[in-house]
Amino acid sequence: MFNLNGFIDISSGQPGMLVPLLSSPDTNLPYVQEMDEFLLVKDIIPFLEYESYPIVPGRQKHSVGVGDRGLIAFRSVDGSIFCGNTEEALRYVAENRALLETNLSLRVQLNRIEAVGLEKSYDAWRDLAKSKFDNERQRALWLDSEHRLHKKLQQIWDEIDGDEVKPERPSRPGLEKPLPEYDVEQLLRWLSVRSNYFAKGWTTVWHYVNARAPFDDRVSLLGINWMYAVNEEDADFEQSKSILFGLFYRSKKSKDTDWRELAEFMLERLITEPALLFGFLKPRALFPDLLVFLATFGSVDYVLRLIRFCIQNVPKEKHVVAAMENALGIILEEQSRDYDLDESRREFEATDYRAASALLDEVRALPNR
Amino acid sequence: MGALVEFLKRNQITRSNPLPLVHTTESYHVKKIVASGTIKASRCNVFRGENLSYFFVGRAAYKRDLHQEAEYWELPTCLVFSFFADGVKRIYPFDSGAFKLKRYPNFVNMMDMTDFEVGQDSEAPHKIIGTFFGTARNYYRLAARPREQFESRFDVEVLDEEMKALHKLILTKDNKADDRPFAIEMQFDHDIDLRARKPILAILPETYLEDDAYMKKIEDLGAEVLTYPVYPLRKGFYYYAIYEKLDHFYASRGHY
Repeated sequence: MFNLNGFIDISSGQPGMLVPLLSSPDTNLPYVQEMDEFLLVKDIIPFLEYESYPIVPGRQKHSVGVGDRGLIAFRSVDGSIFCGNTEEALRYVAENRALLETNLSLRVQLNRIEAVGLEKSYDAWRDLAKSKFDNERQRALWLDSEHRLHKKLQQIWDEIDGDEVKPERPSRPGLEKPLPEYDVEQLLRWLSVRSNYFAKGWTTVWHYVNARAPFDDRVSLLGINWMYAVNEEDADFEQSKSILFGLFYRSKKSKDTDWRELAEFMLERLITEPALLFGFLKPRALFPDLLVFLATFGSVDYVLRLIRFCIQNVPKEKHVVAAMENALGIILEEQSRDYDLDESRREFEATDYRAASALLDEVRALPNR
Repeated sequence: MGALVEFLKRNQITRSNPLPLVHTTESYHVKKIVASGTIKASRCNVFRGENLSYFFVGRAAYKRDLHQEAEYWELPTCLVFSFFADGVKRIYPFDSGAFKLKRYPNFVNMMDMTDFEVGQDSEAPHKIIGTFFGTARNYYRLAARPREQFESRFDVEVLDEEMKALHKLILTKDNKADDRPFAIEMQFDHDIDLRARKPILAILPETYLEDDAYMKKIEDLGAEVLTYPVYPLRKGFYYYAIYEKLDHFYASRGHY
């Protein structure tokens, strides 16, 4: 199950629909639900761009899973925030109709949740168009386009549903049923088939399994192998960001995976093209996770080179400075740590230690610390 | 000279009407674009070391939609401009990022991408549409000329494998709102100033209608506005809705 964490405020503080932002207790990723035409949850997929929108904290407790009735959220006319499933939303609308209808835009949006007919919808669009557009030509264009979209809705949903079962290029070849109908073992088998790596739905299945098998190291291994495979195809980290985000979290919990190999792989790419680091600056939690991961498992001299690049080139936001300080702390602490007998020690040169200390002084002198 | 350029030169082609250019990106990003009045050329993952801005002829193709992580949720906004080609850096008949990432069928991806680059010929998009579709409306709806008509009408020789592959690519479309098979890409290596190059249309999530300040800025740019529903929070639905809105706009404003 995924828990409500807050709302993406695409209404800019005005009455209107909000996007529930979800989290899972076993991953560090933010998620958004995607629904079908009946407002049932079809998929729960990562959404890393959430920080680019205003966020409203969620005070209500709600959980949702694939196949459930989806969470509907909106800011009402009085500024209060409603969040509930379809049935609860319809009840709220019925009980507060007079108030809700005072805002034409919200009325249009809630009409869609209520699935009201064309005649009532048209009245609402006409009123809204009149209030929002002074220009008659623009008003007519908007109104006609709403009318046309309404008429095409069934056709659109038929096509969306049809796309998913098309034999030529299915999103998840061999997994045509909804994911909850498969057990984790079946999904792990599907994920491990190399020809599936390039299927459009691979990451969705991985995230689905990642949330359900948080302690299974095979999930980490599959994520790592997928990373190697797609990067062989000249992709960059921007395209595997959410998988990496998930892997960083796993690396904090499991020591039985070869994280060093992944760290070396990443460091080689980042050293060759340090500008790739800019892709890790959002969401805020990603950059600290990246540096902690690299500082814990990567070659010290490479990590220091990256931090030097960050000091010179990356905007010194507070979380960036804190992440650099934390990473350098990890490196310096490891120098003095007592290792277990069977633990392989990373190689440190005396110069690395001095360089890390000097960089830490430099970071601590930065203005945003 | 690339194979496509050579083919377009060799044949007498009736150019299609120019369709507008569409720039599609995340809605928060468009808010920044509108506030700054500039579409900035930004670091490109495909042509490394270059700063580029991407537009697609007629269609709301979105670069990230083609990446490996195709199932991200996103809330797109489109800015639509009357066709322009001044200062264009490169033109391709498809998304170059998808090609580089080998997202196209092997019969296209096995070829050299430079064979499909049509350089800076500002009329190339109309010629390409005229060649493969006949009309702008057919291009938008991905209704290609039948193979027999295409091969008999034009000088398609045995060695024109690239042209045959391009035509076949259009026919392998996944769905009509999916831009991957054939969206003509235009790359610019400079910023686009919205005061000099005003958008004619913006397609936004409908919640933005309540944001009076934002709507005023778009109105001041001279753009008309269309919107699409935010719920059911389904990316696939957004692209179908935008597809319908653009189709309606083109038809009602005489673009086809």
